[in-house]
Amino acid sequence: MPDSLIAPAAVTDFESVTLPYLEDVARFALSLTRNRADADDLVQDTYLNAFRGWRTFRPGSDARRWLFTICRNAFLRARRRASVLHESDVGDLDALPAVLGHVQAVRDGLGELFDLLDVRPAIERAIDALPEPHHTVLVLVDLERNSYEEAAAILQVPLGTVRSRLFRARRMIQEALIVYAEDAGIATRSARPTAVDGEAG
Amino acid sequence: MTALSCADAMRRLWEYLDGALPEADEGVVRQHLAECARCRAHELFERRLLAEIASVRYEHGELAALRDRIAAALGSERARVERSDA
Repeated sequence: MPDSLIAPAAVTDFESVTLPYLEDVARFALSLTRNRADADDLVQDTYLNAFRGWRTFRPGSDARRWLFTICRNAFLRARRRASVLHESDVGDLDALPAVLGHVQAVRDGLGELFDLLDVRPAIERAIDALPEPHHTVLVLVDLERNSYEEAAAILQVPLGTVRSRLFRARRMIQEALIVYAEDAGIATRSARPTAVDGEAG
Repeated sequence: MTALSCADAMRRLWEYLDGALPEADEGVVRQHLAECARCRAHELFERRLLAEIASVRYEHGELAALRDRIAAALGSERARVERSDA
């Protein structure tokens, strides 16, 4: 569709529909880029791409989700220019969501971890250190409060992929927390459980 | 004892906490947690972990300047579109 078919009225609609989500998009962009200047560039790219694709937006549909999808796609395009993405989903390993991490943590006496330590810095560092694509899924679900279904729509991946990436991201954060607690002298690591059933009662 | 093993309950724990389980499965996990003190301890740990993660917010901070920048960019794009119409 040529540019001339973007009518002035549609431009007004575009701004009234999309600008209320600027803060959400900016926060999401910052969580992706982890850098203010890059985030601002990404937000601008997001809004310009959205404006150019305004005709594809279905009135009444979820504009926030639409903008997040465009933002994520723009981010990935920028990253592809800089480096090659490495997918690292690990199938069955990711299917063990909470078990290994927290069984380990409780076994190591970390049940009171949150009361004994200020874990916020460790969690922030662990989130920043998450590799893609796990980082983006965790941000979408745990920080931006999207459902699994919404995250799958934004990322254009199956629901099971969202689930496995999210659980793997959380397990990496758990592991980082355990290391943080060990470094703080809160706990001594015991032998890592090799099977979930070993804990079953 | 419940029909669900501890291992199965733990496998579903994050989906349970996320409200992402089908209703019937959610009820089974809830029942197991009510009856199993060890799994309940794990549940409390995971609830705290997810709450701590959720408390991390990447606040942008200077939205007014960004809003002006976006408005200017959209204005330039609009002008480009209008020039192409002429």
